[in-house]
Amino acid sequence: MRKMISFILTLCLLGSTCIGCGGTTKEQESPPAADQGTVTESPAVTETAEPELEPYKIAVAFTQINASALTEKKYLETYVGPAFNVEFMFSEAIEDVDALMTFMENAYAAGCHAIMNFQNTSIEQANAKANELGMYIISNCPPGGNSELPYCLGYMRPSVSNIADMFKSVTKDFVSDGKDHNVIIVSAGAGLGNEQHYESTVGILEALQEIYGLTYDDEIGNIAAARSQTEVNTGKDMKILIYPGFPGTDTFVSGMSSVLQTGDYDIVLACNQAYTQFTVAIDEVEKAYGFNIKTAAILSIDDTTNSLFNTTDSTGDTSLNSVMVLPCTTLVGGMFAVLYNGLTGYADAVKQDGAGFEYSNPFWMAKNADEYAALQKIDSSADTYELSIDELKDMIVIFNPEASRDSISTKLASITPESVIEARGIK
Amino acid sequence: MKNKIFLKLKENRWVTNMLPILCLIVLCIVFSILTKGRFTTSINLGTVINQSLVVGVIAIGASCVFATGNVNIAMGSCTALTATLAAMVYMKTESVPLMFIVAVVIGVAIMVICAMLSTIFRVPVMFVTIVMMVLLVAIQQELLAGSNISLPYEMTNGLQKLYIPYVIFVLFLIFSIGLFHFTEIGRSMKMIGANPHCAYLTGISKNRSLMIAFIVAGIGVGLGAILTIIRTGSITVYTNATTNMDVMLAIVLGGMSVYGGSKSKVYAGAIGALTVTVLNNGLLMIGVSSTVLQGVRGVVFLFLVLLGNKRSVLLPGGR
Repeated sequence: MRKMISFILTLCLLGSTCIGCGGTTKEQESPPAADQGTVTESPAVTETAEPELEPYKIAVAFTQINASALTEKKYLETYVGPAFNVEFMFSEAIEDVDALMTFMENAYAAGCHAIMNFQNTSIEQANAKANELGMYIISNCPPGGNSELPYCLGYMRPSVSNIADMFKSVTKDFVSDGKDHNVIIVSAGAGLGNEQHYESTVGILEALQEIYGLTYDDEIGNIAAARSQTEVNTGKDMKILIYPGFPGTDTFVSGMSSVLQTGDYDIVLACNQAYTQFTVAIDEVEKAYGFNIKTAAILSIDDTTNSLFNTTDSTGDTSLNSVMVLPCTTLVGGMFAVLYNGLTGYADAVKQDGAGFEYSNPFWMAKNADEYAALQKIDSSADTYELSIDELKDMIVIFNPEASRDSISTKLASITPESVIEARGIK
Repeated sequence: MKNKIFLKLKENRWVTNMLPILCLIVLCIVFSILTKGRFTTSINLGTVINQSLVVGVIAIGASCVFATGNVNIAMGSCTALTATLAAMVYMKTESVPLMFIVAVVIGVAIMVICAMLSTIFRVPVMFVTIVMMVLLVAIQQELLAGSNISLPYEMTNGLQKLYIPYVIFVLFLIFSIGLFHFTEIGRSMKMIGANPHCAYLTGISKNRSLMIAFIVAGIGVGLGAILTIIRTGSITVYTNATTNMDVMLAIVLGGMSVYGGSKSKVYAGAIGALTVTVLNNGLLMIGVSSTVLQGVRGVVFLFLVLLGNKRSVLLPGGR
């Protein structure tokens, strides 16, 4: 019996190995020389027709496999890859630096010439490893300490100032009815140095202070950076609760549930994607107390968010009132353009005085179900991607000799929901 | 008749000792052919060895505990906590030697606590280590408080350039082989794994042997923590999250039974760690996707556990 099972498992092993081989007949390119500092000089760009596209392979190191990651994967694999003769190698969800190092080494061994890195810890290590292997790297994180390395092409990350302004705007919208409100701010990692969460929390506190004339007993920055649940002293009969932490810790959801069940709070503003963990608790409180809890959060464009906007709660309001999303294909499209410039010998076009390309990707906001419905149509098919092939080519020197670091930033900044809807004819 | 030949082969000393090494060599040859020689370039082989060092070191130490017939599943969390504390010590003192000492001392201390809980309260090692695993993870999360510890790149790079990880691995391997295969201590561990009752009647102290096994495992954990720090330069709540599974897989792939006993080999972990890395690296090089790779690893593990892991009965009364 054991032998039979072993035999069957062996067949499964062989079968899965054959299935997973991908069937590619493309000859694997040898990776470039792994000498540090040897980067090819930019070749002169001549005015010719479409250049012949050399095959390249780019590794993509995701930190989570969620709806955004799947959209980005589809965009790269099925839309960008065939147009530029580029093959992509995607990782599993990489949670720690060891897994990233291993993925980078294996990607190099598998013939990858560059890597898009979404892991944001130990960026110096990642840059150094990429440089050692001779792979161009661009990362989705704040700039690291060794950006001057020749193979480090730069960083693209979510905009901190843009998200803070959005939360200010949402807060003002929620409390502009002239009534008193009590607010829970899910500050996530604001107290742990996460700039995005910190600035979002500061923005909310500033907005509330402005509207209600509040007097905090400490600097707004210190209040925002609270590492534990903190009732803010507002100087008035108004409650503001700072609720830090992340899903995954045992008491995060249960603690929030206890707070909501006091019935004291009618606004929840979540600075990260933790909001989806509280929807049931919020719904229960609304049913029990009979009042509406207004909510805003940072989420992805996916079925969950769609459901939240299209579901009415017991008070007749939508389960989610406002959402901030990060445009995903603009991000990976921009990262691809920068990497492709490096691969084709135009790293100098994106680096300036040795420093890598830097760009902060603004969030998009939907304040109601209609606005979200418009956002949802973007990136839903090849005709509706945020960055088209022509727009990508505009950012790549071999197609557009005028392309530069500044023009790439300008191009990316011009991508807004309205511009995409108009350009793609989305109705 | 065929059964007899198969059993003879399976129980043959040379087959059990050489088979894992032969499998490793065959895998290397196969991948070298499939990748037209790219697998066996010096850069790639160096990469493979580098990737297997952390799991290899921990598995070498863990083999001693497994040899006694016990299963330790707190290795990953112990390594993570040890790495966290050692990193914190370095950030405060900027002393590499102190970081090394602290890592080994903490690794040994945690493993000794596990051994004491098992021997004093007579709780099976597996249950003790389950509880310790949860506790150690909680302590680490509390220490990190959701943030990361990023160590200076100059320090980790400097240690890499001095080949410190290789030196640590080789020295620990030599020490463990010497202790386990050439001393009475190692023989005692194997005897306890083979037949605790006979071992007791022979005058072998189970508690003493178990304590020594955990001390060696603790040294392996401490050294593994140092290698983790050198390789990654960063400690997060996800550090060493899969180490436990990787170590057990390495030990099994290296030809050692999880039940321990007389055929235990302390170098099994090192061979197994290399085999796992060769599999990962080679399959990716020939185009197998990352998602399929996880499935392949699981199937291989299950296959080997089912095929070769029946505890050999040494004298009557053995489990």
